Formats: sequence, structure tokens, C-alpha cells
Amino acid sequence: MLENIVSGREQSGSILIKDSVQQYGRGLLKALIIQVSNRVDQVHIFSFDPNADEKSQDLSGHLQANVQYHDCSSDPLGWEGTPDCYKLQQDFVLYAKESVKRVKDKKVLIVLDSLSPLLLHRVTPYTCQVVSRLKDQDVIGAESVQVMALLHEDLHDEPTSRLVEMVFSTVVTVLPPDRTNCYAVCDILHKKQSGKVMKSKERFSISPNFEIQDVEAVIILTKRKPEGASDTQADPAANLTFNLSLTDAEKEARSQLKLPYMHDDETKHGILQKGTAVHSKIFYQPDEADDFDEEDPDDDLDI
Amino acid sequence: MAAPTTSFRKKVSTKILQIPGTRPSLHNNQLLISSGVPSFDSVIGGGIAVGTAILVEEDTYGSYGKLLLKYFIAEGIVCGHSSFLATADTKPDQIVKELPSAIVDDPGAVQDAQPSSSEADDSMKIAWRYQNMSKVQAAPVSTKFGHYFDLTKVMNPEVLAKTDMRQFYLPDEEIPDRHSNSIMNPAYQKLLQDIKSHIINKNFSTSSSKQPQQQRNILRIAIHSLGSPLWGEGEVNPDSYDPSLPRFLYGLRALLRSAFASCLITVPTYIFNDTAFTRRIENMCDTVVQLESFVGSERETNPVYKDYHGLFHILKIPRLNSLTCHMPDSLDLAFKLRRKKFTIEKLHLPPELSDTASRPQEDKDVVVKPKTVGCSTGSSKLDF
Repeated sequence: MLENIVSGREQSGSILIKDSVQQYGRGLLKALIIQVSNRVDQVHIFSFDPNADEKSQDLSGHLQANVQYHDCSSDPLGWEGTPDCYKLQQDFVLYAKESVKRVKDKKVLIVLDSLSPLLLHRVTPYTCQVVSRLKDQDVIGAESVQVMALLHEDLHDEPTSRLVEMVFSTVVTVLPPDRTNCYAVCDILHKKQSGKVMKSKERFSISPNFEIQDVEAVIILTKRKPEGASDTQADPAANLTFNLSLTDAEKEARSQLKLPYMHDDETKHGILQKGTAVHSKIFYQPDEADDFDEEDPDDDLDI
Repeated sequence: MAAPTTSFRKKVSTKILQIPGTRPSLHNNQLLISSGVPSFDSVIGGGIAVGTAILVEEDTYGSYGKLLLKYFIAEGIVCGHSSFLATADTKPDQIVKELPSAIVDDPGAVQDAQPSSSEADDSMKIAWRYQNMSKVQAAPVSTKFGHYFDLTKVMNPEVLAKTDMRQFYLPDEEIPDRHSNSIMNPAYQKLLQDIKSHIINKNFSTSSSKQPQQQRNILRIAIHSLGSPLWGEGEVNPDSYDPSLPRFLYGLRALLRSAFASCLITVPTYIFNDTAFTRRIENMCDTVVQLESFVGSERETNPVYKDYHGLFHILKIPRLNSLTCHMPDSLDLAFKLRRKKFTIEKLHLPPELSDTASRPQEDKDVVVKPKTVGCSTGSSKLDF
């Protein structure tokens, strides 16, 4: 599932990566950006988290020249009056429109590196609307737009992240590795265009070159088998006082058996034929005292 | 010709209008339209009454709620009704493009007929008294009211081009800024005003005298995901209570009551924190149904529900012109989606409550939480 999304086999207009302090999600975000950048013409990274320089160095070796960084973190409240820097009271959609230029007939990837500052400074519906507007290729004017965002889940309450998740078609929650191995684990929720919803839990690792490796689905064991339980299933048909497996001959014999109160065709026929069946006859010999009437006043006797 | 006239006159229902795609209700003579899902119509009492609002509480990922909305519009297009489609996230064009095409004949009738004939052949040997009992009918039969739709095909673009549809896409509308003293969220206010002017301009109002009786038509209003953050719900201080949505619905219902219009609204109630808020919204609509899909829940793998895609809860049925409402046979309903049919069925037969049937109490639990009884297959994950 993760591989399909990374490789683009599974179409996803918007991907949200949720991380927490226990497991850093930016590695996966970078890996995704590098993978997706091969398929798009322009990558625009809006970095809200205040360490943009470090990031640009990180990615510069792996990406083509079509990456542009937009500073959204150095002067968030407009105290220094830095030009070209996004200030949190501005309308982000307008800012993005101005920043993303010359995109006609181009495929664009927009990365919102951490939604958290927006969510903390503006009301939650605003962020949802921003993401929903950016997904629309007509707003930017590009041929297609893919939106990717990072959310530090532990900075926000549960209703907030629920609202944000609603507008993304794919949500990848990065979880810390379990104790047995060193792979990171992620929960993937993917809503297809057709309305079908897919869920899976997968483990992965990221190489120093930001390649996603060793993707494998994690099978959730519902319950461990008790100690000493044999793998072979006990045959429930054994030791029964009755026979469950009948041969054809036995079945035939069973169908021949007539049970009391059984209502088969023969008895039915018998009931219907009762009136006409010749069981006994009444012979009547009229004597002299018998009053035999020749007439048929009701005209119902067959004389 | 001086025929003796009496004051007594046979009651003739003169008010019933002949509008395509409508029929009078058997219960209260209310004019009904189909929701586009015949089994949905039958569980809510025959159809959606003209002049009422129906609320569909969306399932967790909203896919089945959106589907019901598409069926509602598609049915209107097939019947030649006008429609008004309002959305905030998906573009109305996109929804219209995805509308399923109608199936002329009922696909279920052919399929269902065959197995029943083969069943009749093998007569019951022991329980023969049951042989003449009528077959249990899970999905109620439909008359020629409402259509089935094929989800694999989209509706003919030529038909779509001919239909009268007004689209309302929130980001494309000019929404004024919110004032602190405004009565409701400006997005809702704009939508309400648009609906009102549409009803008046296109003569859907019952009081409009311009339209001759014969040319009356029905307006179907469909609002997708109302109350989602994209509509601006919760934009004011989240700690204070925002009465915009109940107010909007109140105004909408007042408009509908005096118009040849019905409204289907889907609301993602699962995102609301306050259940009292959900109750308020429910209170403001005439019919309320809730979809609960099994996607992602543990019920998805529960064998009891294996034939279904989700549960269908009826929360409210309107009492129109009467003290009582239609009461469906069973409130234990589930829905399933096949390519050519979305059906709402009785989940299972109601429990035997007669005195003669003495059942142990544990029986109920067995059905709901199937315990493994040694007969399960070895590879099953459900084998606890």
C-alpha cells in the first residue's frame, strides 16, 4: 500500500503524514517528496517549522532543480517586516497563488511542512479550507496539484486532527517501531476516488538516500495461541454419537425411510383419494314396508 | 335538467397533482418523491414527502452518504425534476459527472426469481407444514416508483445537459466577511438566500400563481457535507456555541414548506464533539437517517455482518398531517451495495417473543458475538 502510493500507482491527491515526538515523520515526508518529484514539474515547499536552511541542504543533493522553498517561518507575526515571508494573518491561499508562478500545464507538488503553526494561530476550519483550496488545480492554475502535509499530532487535540484528516485523501500515521525490530511502522488510510476506503498497517525503513525500503504489511495478531496448543485443528466430527459423514448409499437409504407423520406424496395422494377409494360398499335391498317415492320433487336424484 | 341536488358530496381529492416522478402517500395523501433507492423509500414510508428536509448522517469516511446524495439527484434527473446542488469540497461538476445511469428494468427481479423456483422443487419432508408459508422477503418489492442505478455506468451527458440544475460551489461564491452581529455564518446565509431566490424565480413556490397547474415541477435540493469545516462550521471561537447550522435548517424548512421542493442534506455528524449539537440539527429536519459503515470497525470481519456494508439507523420519521408517523416493520436495518443496486434490508428476523418459544437467555449473545464452537476452519483469523 505504501509502495503503491509512493510510486503513484495508487492515485492520491493529498497525503497527510502524522507524526509525534516518539516517531519523527519528516524522514518519510522527504522520501515521499523525492519519489514524487520525479513525476511532477515543480515542487513548492512551504516550510513553517523554523529550520528551513537545514532542510534545503538535506534535500538539495537528491532533487532536481525544480524545487522552490518558500519561507513561512522566519517572520510569522510580521514583527521584522521581512518581505516574501508568509505572515500568519495573511490569507495562505493568496500567498500560495503568488508564490507558485508559471505553472500553466505543469504538474505541481505543494508541500506544507507542518500544518501546526497554521492550526495553532488560526481556527481549525481555516486550515481545512486552505488544504481543500490548494487541492483544486484551478486555484493555482496548474494541470494537476498534489498536496502533501506534515502534522505533529501530539501538538493538537483529537477533534482538530480529526477535522484535518477529513480533507486529505490519504493519511499516514507514523508510529514508533516495536521492540522486536528497528523498522518504523505506519498506519495508512487511503480513500479512493470511487469512495472505497482502504486501511493497512505497514513497516518500512528509510535509507540514507531517502529511499523507502523493506515495506511489509504488518499482520495484526488478534490473540496469541495458548501455549502447547497444537497446530492441527481437532476434528469436531470425531467422537460423536451420531454419524455426520454419510455415503451416497447411506443417504439414499435414509431418504427411503418413512418416518411417522411424514407427509410425502403418497400420503397426500391417499388423503385426496379417500372419498373415491373402494373400501366398503353399502348394499340396500328395499322391502315392502319401505316407502319408495317415485317422484323427485327436488330434481336432484338420478332416477 | 333539475336534478335533485344534496349538500352531501363524495370526497374527491382534487389537490393531488400529476407531476412525473411523484405519487401520493398511502398514509396521509402527502405528495412523495423517490430518494433514488427504492428500499430506502419503503423504510421511510413510501418516499420523501415534498416540502420536507431529510437529513443523512454520514458514515465515517462519507462515501455512502455521498452515494445516497448521487442517487437522489440522479433520480431527479431521470424523472425530469429540477435540482439544486450545493457543495463545499467536491466540485458540483465532479459529482454530476459521476452520477450513475438508471437501469430500466429491475435487475434484482431476474436474479431473485431463479433461486426461488429451484427451491420450490425440493419439497420439505419433515417440516412440510412450512412449505406453503410465504417466502421471507428481506428487501421489499418495489413498484414503478423510483429507479435502480448502475454504478458502473455514468449518466448520458446529453441527458445531463438538458436538465435544469443550479450548482452552488462555496469557494466560487462571493461570501461576505462575517460580522459579529450577523444571525448566522455567511456561507449558510448565502446558500439560504440562493435557495430562496431560486424557488421564487423558478416558480417552485406553492403561492406562485404564474405557473399553471399542469406545468408544476419538483425542485430537488441536495446539500453535501453541510457542517463540515469547509462550510466554515466552527470558525468562530470554538468555545462558544455557534447556532448557525440549526438556524439555517430552520430557515430552510420554512422555505420548503411552501414550495414544491424537497431537500436531502448530508452532515458529517461524526466530527461534532457535542452530541447535543447533533440532536439540535436532527430536531430541525423532518426525516433523519444515519449510516454506519463497517469500514475500519471490527464489525467488518464479524460473520454476522458479512453480507452487509453497514448499518442503517432510522432516527426520525416525520409526522405529516397526522399524529402518528409511518412505522417500519423493523428498525434493525442494514445496507449493502452492489454495482447495480443499493439495498436496505432487515438485518435479521426479530427475536421470537411468543410464550410458546422458550429460549435460554444466552442465545442472543451467540448471534451477536459468535463464539468459536470447534467447527471453524483452521486458517481463520477469527479463531479465538
